[in-house]
Amino acid sequence: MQPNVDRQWPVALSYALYRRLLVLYPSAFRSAYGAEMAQVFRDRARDVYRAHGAVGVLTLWPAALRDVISAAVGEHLEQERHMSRKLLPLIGSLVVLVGVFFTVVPMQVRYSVWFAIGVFLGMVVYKPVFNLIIVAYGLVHSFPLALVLVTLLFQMCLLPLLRKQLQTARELRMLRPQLRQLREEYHDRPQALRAAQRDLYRQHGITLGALPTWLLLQLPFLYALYYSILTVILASNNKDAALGLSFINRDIYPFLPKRDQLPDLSFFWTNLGHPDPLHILPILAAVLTVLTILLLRLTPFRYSFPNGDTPRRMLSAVASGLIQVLAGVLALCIGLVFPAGLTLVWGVSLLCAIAGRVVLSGRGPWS
Amino acid sequence: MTEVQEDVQRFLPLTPAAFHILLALAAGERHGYGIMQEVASTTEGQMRLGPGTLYRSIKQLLEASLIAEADERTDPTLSDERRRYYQLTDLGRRVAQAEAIRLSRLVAQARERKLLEGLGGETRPGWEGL
Repeated sequence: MQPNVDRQWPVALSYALYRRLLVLYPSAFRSAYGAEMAQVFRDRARDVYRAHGAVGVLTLWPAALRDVISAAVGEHLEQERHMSRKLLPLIGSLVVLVGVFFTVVPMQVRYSVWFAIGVFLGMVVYKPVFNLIIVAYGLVHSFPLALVLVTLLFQMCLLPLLRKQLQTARELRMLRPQLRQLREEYHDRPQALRAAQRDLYRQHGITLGALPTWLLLQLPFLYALYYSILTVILASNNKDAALGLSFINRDIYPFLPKRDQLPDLSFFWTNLGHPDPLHILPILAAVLTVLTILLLRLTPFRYSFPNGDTPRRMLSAVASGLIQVLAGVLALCIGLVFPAGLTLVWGVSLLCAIAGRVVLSGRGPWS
Repeated sequence: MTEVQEDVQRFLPLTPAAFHILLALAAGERHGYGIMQEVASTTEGQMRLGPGTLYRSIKQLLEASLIAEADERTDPTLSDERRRYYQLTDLGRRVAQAEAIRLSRLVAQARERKLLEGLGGETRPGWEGL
């Protein structure tokens, strides 16, 4: 009856907080009942405030939190049951497997598994790249230049994937009005919405996997380069030059000529084996990272949750602004800690991506 | 006592929250907060449905057509916001009736086995009494 009670801070704050909590519910449920639930909560908070004041409102919260969490979990589980009977058992058995791995499985076996993974990655990822670098080094007689050349080669191989990703991004942008229309049409039927979106994507030949693949392939490459640089650093830092050289030679394929000299890691003002003392490379890498994200519209989360659900919306909201800043800061931190060689390779990869964007689109980068 | 139909039986037993909501609506249309207040007062504050539990039950009852949305209007005893009112459907009334019969039979059995002696013959309508 006194509407100004709503404006008293305990009621207003509780209402605002409660409305934030509604994101925990599945979007269909939230759009159907969210406003009403918040209204009911405010009604209750208002009555309790009149009777017991601010402390009374505070005591509402433990039960309210329990209620929100249990109802949200229940509602999500029910939706999952409707959507796929396969996903939950799959996640469940994965959790059990990981649990068994870390508890029941004896330590020796566990370490053997880690070791096997290490050997596997070394064989499949590190060694081919390392040998490629050594071959390039034999040709150009400059280790930094060899690093750059191998990076260029790798990025060129990835160009078709990048083109596909750019195409996908462009087509998705054009489809945005249609997608919005679908969301409005099916806002209370998430299953039908998903099917309609799938149809629309299929009609336009869009595969949502292109971008994640392009991004994910950068990881093993950076891993391989990191270990390649590490091998050379370990070799160079060894007091016994012959022993150091053997670190390099034992990783070279038997059919390739062995090295008889340690590579020189110095690169203009810095040494690729250490972090850049002037911080020029890290800053450049950070700037390039932000630029690349802006130019390529690399908001991967938008593609991973194409179903109009809560996490997608939350993440794309984050992705729209914060992610550029975060990625830049991350690149800066990595550049400050890791050897400059890695930062250099990262920067060259980004330059390739930007150049690819410019060339492939046939337009200026800011058009 | 009315004959209990087959189609009603498949809804039984109702969850406590569902039965309380049907019970609250048996007296007439109510909005969400009205249901919450009614449940709290009939159980003397023993059962207080949170908004989440309340609307999950409302959703399930709507899907089962045991209740229906009435209309949206303001409640003069509360603020001047518009609120959605809910009402019992015919089916909902019969289901609530069947559940009440089921529960009263349980209570009768409890009485037969002298579980209620020394309680003054009257038991609370709340769940804790059963």
